[in-house]
Amino acid sequence: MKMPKHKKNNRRVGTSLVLVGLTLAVLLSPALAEDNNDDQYLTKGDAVNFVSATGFMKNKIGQLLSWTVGYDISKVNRVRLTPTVKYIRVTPRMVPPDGRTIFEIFAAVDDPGGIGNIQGVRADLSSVGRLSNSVLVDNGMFGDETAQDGIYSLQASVPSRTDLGAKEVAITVANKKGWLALAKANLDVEKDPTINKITLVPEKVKTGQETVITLSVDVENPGRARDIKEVTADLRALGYATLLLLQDDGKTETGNSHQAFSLQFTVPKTLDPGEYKVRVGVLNIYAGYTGKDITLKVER
Amino acid sequence: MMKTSNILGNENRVMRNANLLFLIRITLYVLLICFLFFIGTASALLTSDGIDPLDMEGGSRPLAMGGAFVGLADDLYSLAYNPGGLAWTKGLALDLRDINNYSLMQSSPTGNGDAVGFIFTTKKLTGLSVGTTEVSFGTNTLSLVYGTKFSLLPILANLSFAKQTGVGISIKTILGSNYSQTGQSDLSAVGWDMDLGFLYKANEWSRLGLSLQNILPQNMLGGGIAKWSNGVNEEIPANYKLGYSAKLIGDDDALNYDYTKGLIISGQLGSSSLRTTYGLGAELGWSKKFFFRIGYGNSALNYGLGWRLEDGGIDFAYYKEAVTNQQRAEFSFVYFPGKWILVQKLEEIKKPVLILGDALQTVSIADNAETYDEKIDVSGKVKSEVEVYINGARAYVDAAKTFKTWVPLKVGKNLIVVELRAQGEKKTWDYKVLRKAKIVVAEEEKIDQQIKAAVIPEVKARLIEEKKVIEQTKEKVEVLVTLGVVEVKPKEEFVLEDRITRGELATWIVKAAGFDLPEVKKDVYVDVPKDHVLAPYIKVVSNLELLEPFPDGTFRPEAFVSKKEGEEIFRNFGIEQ
Repeated sequence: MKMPKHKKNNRRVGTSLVLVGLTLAVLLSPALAEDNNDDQYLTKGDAVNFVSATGFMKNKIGQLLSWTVGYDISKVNRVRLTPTVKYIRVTPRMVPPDGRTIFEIFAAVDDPGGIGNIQGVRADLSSVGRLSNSVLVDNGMFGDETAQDGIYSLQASVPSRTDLGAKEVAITVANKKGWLALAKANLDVEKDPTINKITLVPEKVKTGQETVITLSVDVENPGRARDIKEVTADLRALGYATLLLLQDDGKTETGNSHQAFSLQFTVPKTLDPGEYKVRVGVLNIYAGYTGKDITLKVER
Repeated sequence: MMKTSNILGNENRVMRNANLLFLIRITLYVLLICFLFFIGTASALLTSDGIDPLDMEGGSRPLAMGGAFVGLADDLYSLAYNPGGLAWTKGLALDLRDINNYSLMQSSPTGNGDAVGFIFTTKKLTGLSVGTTEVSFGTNTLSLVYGTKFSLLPILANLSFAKQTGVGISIKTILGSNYSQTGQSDLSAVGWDMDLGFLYKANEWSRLGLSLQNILPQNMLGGGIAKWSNGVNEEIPANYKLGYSAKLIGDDDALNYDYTKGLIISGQLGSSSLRTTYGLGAELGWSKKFFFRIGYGNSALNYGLGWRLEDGGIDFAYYKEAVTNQQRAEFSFVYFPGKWILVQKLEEIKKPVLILGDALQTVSIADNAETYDEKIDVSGKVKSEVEVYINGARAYVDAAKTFKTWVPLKVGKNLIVVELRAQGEKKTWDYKVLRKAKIVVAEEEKIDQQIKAAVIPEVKARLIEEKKVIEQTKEKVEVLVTLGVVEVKPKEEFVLEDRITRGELATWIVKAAGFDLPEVKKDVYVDVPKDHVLAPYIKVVSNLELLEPFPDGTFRPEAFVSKKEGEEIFRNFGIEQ
């Protein structure tokens, strides 16, 4: 009796499955045996106990747990924790003690934890008669240009009772983790303006000629340049009867408190050869005055 | 900015060098003048025996260092050796050689940056001989000493050179001296003289000292002489000493930092009509408590021991006595309390006197602390006008004079240095902190659950015992991770029951034993190329034949180590199962 064809096929499939199963069982049996026999392998716990029991490790452990060995300077953690002051700018550099001229302090700060970690920035203005813990702000107000840019600002003035001279302003920056950075800036409390440069063009003239001469003066005034009241040139040695006023040419490129002044004049034909001193005087609205001479050469 | 600070640093160094050269030059001039004026005029009873009746030098610490203390002068023995160092010292000392030879001294800061003190000395020298006759000499002396810094003068107050230079004066009196010579009647003497001392702290770790002893010219103001009972006036010989010291090792103000050890060296040259002297000394310290001192002075090797507690200590010296050339032993008992100020009322009527030692009122951190944390809080309270630095970084001190911050900790040993600075002075406190690696062992949680679930007492007891074993092993894992032998990634559990691979074991052994890692230039095995992350470790254990390759020439770093193989490996290190 013949077996039906589909039954014959089922039987072949069954036999094949058994053979595959047996083959896998034979192949995997060592691995299964391995997995089921942990005792024959060294565990990490065993290895820890072995390593810890070695002489060299006992020695190292002894040193690790000793409070008298190995605590030297190399064990001081020097990771940067404090905020930093990148720069401090004081404008203007010279301020008159008039109680109304504003000077500004800008402190650019940073912190390992980011600008948001800055707790506060303070300035010790006691050297210019103000509070020793004046607050600088980074809120876009009170003279601060941009909020949250890490540049803290403060506006203040110097009271009239303040002594003239160079002053030191200490800036402290504290972060929220309790660390502090300290930096210093200098500020000159001055009343008198400064003449930085005087030029005569030309410096030499020939006698008997009516040469036009240009006198240029670069003036730095404590506080604002516009507080310069007048700049004069004393040309009486050249035959002029009165002091001549120099013309305000506006700000120079060197800074806001610098101002350029100029005057054109002619040398009389009758002037004898020789050297003539021209005195330039600068007066500001705080009654500060400074004068400086320049020599004009008259040749044959 | 860096350049500017470098330039400033160079300028400071140049300034310091210029100051030092200036001081050396002045010192040499002074010495020369002194030699020209005072030396070589003495001749009488004492000088013929080489005795200086106003020699008050003693003390076990200086003696053990060969007497080379003029350039060191860092404790109250500066009273006797160099009053220039007195402004920085305070305390009380009793030196005891025997019943006939002892001295008592005290130094007290006034609270204004200067100090006053005294020395009372009793000495008896026996065994001397003049020709065939025997001579003995005994003397009681008292010295009143004042020391300050040059910065006490308002005009010099802001000069760092002046702050670092001390000057002192000592008025010394012979209360009574007795000279006995066989066959002759005893003689007694009185008299007085003066010492002048200078100490320059060239930098934090080195000092230069000059001591001009018995400098009064003969009969000036009735001093400079010993008046004998037989009517003879004998000039007291002048003595000039120049010394230098350096703190080479130490935890504070030393050239090289070491928390537990210390080394100071000192040297000095001296000259008088009696003799030319030189001395060399060294002091080695351990744990700031125990000291060994050695020195060469009076053509002999001196040595001594010291033991220090917080407010005092005991010193011992074995040395050669200059006049009699005999070996002597001396004990010193010193006491130097932190709060000792002569005029306490100054606190009420003037600016409060700040003692930096007391300025750290509270601090959160404890010494010898163990932690698993990544950081440690360092907070506390200080007195007014005190700046706080922690590990060199300045801490913010608020209006209430409190500071609150934290310091990150590395795994292993950490040293936290809290430093207070005020009025140009500083004081440090060191705190030792051990940060252990925090490890989570998988079996611990598992057994906790089992203990919780266990109902039968015997089972519970067995599980508790098993937990103890796990905890002990966990502690070992923590130590191994702390030492860097075993690596466990953050937030990773360490499974004690996991099998260890050959590669892992190789790294553990090499790191634990501290073997140097070789450069691997070619493949170690066919399955361990030269750029394999474990190649150096495997090369070491292979060279040492601790882990053998498989017969097919492979190492198989990922293969597990059999128990038998593991036991074999550790048997090489003397470990048996």
